[in-house]
Amino acid sequence: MPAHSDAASAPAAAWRMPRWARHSGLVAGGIILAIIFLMGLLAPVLAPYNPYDQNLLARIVPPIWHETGTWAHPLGTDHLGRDYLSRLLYGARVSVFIGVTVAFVSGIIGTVLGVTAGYFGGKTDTVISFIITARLALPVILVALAVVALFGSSLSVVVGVLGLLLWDRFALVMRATTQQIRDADFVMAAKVQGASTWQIIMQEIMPNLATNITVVATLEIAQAIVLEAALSFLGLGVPPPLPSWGLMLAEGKSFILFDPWLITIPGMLLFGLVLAINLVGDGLRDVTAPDSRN
Amino acid sequence: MLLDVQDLTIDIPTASGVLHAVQGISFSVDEGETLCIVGESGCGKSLTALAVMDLLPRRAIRAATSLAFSGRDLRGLSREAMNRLRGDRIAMIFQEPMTSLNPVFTIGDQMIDVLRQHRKVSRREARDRAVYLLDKVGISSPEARLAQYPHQLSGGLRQRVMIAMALMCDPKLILADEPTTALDVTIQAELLRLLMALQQEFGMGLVLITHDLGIVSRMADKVAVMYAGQIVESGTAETIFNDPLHPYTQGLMACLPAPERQRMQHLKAIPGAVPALVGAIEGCRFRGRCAHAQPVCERDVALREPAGAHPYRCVLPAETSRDNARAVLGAGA
Repeated sequence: MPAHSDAASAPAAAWRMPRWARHSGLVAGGIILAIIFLMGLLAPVLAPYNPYDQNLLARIVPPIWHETGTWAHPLGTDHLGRDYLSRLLYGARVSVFIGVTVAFVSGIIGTVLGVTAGYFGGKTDTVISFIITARLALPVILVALAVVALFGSSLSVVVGVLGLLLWDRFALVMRATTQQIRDADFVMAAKVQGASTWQIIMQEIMPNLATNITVVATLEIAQAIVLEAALSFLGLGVPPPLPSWGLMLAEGKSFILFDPWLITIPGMLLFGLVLAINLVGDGLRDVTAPDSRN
Repeated sequence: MLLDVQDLTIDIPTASGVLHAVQGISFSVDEGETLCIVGESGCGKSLTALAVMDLLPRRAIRAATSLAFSGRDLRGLSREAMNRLRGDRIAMIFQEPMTSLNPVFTIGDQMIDVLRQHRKVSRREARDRAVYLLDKVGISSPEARLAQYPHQLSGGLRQRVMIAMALMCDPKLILADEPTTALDVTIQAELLRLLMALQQEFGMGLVLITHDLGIVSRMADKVAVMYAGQIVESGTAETIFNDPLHPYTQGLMACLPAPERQRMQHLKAIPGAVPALVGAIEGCRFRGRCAHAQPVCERDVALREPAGAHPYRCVLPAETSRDNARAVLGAGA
């Protein structure tokens, strides 16, 4: 792997490399993440087959490393004869799209609530804390079940449900950090310099939250992807025949005894993606912390 | 009159009753003049400065018969008008330089923002002013400093940056709340000299809040001694130091280390502690710690100005006070 030799030669040139490039976790996670993003982005180009095309004559073809594998289907086919590689490539799109959109939606909701509660305190804080507690009392899967029963399952329903449910961690973290920053001397200094409340929140508080937002967002992206897989596995997520890694796990589960690669390949990818996101999140936190800047 | 404060009162409702943090204090500052407000922790000095800036804690209630800056009444000003005034005409410097700068922006960005907040100037012009002022406050290679983050500067440098930042909009009045308390003594002296030089150069009014009588003696034109939310004595620096009339002021001076004092002799201290200011309070606030307390001190004492003396808040006649001062401070006073 060429990426590996880059990493190996890094220490020799460490003194001139930017700080983010010296963080091995960040680099490793970034590379995996980049590969998966590119997989999703370039799926139409890379995929050898249409992911929806069924070929009942070539069902459950094993991947290339099996004795009976063929180059026609490098990662084999599923129980309907659909090319597994093509489905995995398109599935990366679904997973990444869901992860990023859900983190974005929940990030906005959670940050607005958290910062409002943390900065203004008092009655505002009481009300928002109550909303957060109420949200924490809701089990995500149960709510998803109810919503899917009402509206049917679709990609937008999954994004909507998860986006409206996963903001609690954003809200809690932002509320706590805002409370700390609100009383910092530099906020008082900004008031003394004539800044309005809006300016203080946007120019003094938010930039100091950026690191926290990044870290929570990566955690939430990972959680959203895993939850989507879980929901799809339970039949509550994206509906077939859409290629989602969670759905592929679900479809492969009946073949786990004799054709385990149907479940291990998407499982490994899911594991790799979530690991990479967490590595990147931790790495970003280390690198962007202002105290360690140049 | 640059700043005129009459009868300023600050009440803070708490769970155990109303805290009378500041009880009817009056003072004024002119352009180019330094007023030192002296007092120990918790006497209301910092709240007084925040009250002028209208930045008291939300629960606090401010009242005054006059609170005027350059002839403009600050009491009725809208929040926007007050925002325009803060940082522009009135600047403030805090005690803690380590935390008064936003850690995620370079000092250049922060200085430029202050000016652009109040003036329509280009980034280029604002930058030039920042470089000029950093140079003024004695920071070497100001161009390079602009690109640095606060954590890269020492405490003394940060306080210089804070001073430069306060000067960005060419204010008429600076409120400095213990600006050198967090710094070591050699840097304190440098910064105070700097502050004084800048004040004279730009003709600003300076309100210096401190508990350090040494600073007061070097900096002040006028002095107001505060105790438990009241001004107990006020006058020019000379009269206060040569002719302290209030037992508290005399006590503070007796606590100062003096070169002629014998080696190994203990530093003096005023016995007792500041009274609680919660609920109804009556009588002289200092009577619990005063060596000259009398039954009449149970009643409220007014700030009075007898002939041949400056205003002080004590029932003792000026002559008796002077005798006490000689007894406490020795022949030198």
